[in-house]
Amino acid sequence: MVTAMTDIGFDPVMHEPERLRIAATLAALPAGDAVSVSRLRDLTGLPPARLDSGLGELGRAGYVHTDHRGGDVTGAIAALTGRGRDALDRYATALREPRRPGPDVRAGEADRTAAAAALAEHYAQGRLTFDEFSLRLEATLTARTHGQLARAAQDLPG
Amino acid sequence: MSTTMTDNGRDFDPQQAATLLNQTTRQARRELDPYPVWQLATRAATALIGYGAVWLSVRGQHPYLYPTAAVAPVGVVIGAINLTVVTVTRKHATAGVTGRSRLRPAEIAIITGVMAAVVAVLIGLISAGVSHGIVYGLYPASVPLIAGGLTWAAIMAKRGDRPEAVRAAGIAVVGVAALLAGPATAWLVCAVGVSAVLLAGAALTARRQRA
Repeated sequence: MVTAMTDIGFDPVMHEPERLRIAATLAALPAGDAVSVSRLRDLTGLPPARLDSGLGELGRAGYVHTDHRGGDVTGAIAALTGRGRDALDRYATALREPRRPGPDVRAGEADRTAAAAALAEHYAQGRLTFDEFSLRLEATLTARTHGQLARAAQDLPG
Repeated sequence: MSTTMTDNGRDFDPQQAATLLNQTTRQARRELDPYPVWQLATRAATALIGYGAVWLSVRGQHPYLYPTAAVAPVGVVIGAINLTVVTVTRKHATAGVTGRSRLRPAEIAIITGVMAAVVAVLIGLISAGVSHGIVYGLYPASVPLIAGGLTWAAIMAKRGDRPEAVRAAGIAVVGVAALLAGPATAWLVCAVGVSAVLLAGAALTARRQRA
């Protein structure tokens, strides 16, 4: 099972390389089509045990339907369900969205420099007095985490 | 960092995930496409050569008679290449696949029946003594494209395969354009038109696979 970090907002079932490869491959078929597990193995390049395990996890989530017509895994066919297609679409959309680091994540020199430049721009636009700018600039340049950087700019747009 | 520790013990960065998703999607589309770019490009080339060869053999005829016998081997070779290319790519793409991607026997019967009817009518026209310009020019150049193209477009539209339906309709339009040309020029229209439709299809497929 997925062990951690669901806080970043990804579907934990999809956010695993082998399951993602299986789901993306099945999504290339027209809706309603299925593919034999042996062909799916060729397409994904996954070893049988990994493929079986991935299909099992995706199946338990309702993302993949596996029909064991042949009585064993080699005679089975697999298809992405409507729910699976929706989940993959949502996952792909989530991947495209820009992500902000969590508040406890350590900030680097580049993060502090960028935040200071943004503050200077707000000062130039008249959103901050000189005293406010000086205080916030000091807080920004000594910030250790992204949370501290965010607090120095919390009432500013952008 | 926004990495995830997955159950196989690896960190999975969202950027890696996006790259893997794109690569897998492109690869799967290429493998499962019954009309890959190279197949459409090959068919475009064979159409240009095949119809072009017929046009070269009839363009100096006044009055129009029929394509010369020298073109027959070219036609046979071109037909064999086309059939082989389509069969091999379709077989590869649909290996292990069940459902909509596979042609149903009824669909094969319909397209075979339509093409058989086209040939039967041609034989009837020849027997009836219709002019050479029609039975050896306009009809064989245009009617198979119109009848076959429209039938295939209808089948593909019913399946929801829009790109292939549009390609087939484009072939039918080329057939109509050939019908409006003279008996010799009809072959040239087919050569240019069919290969243009197939090349456009190849370009669109390549674009879709990159998207």
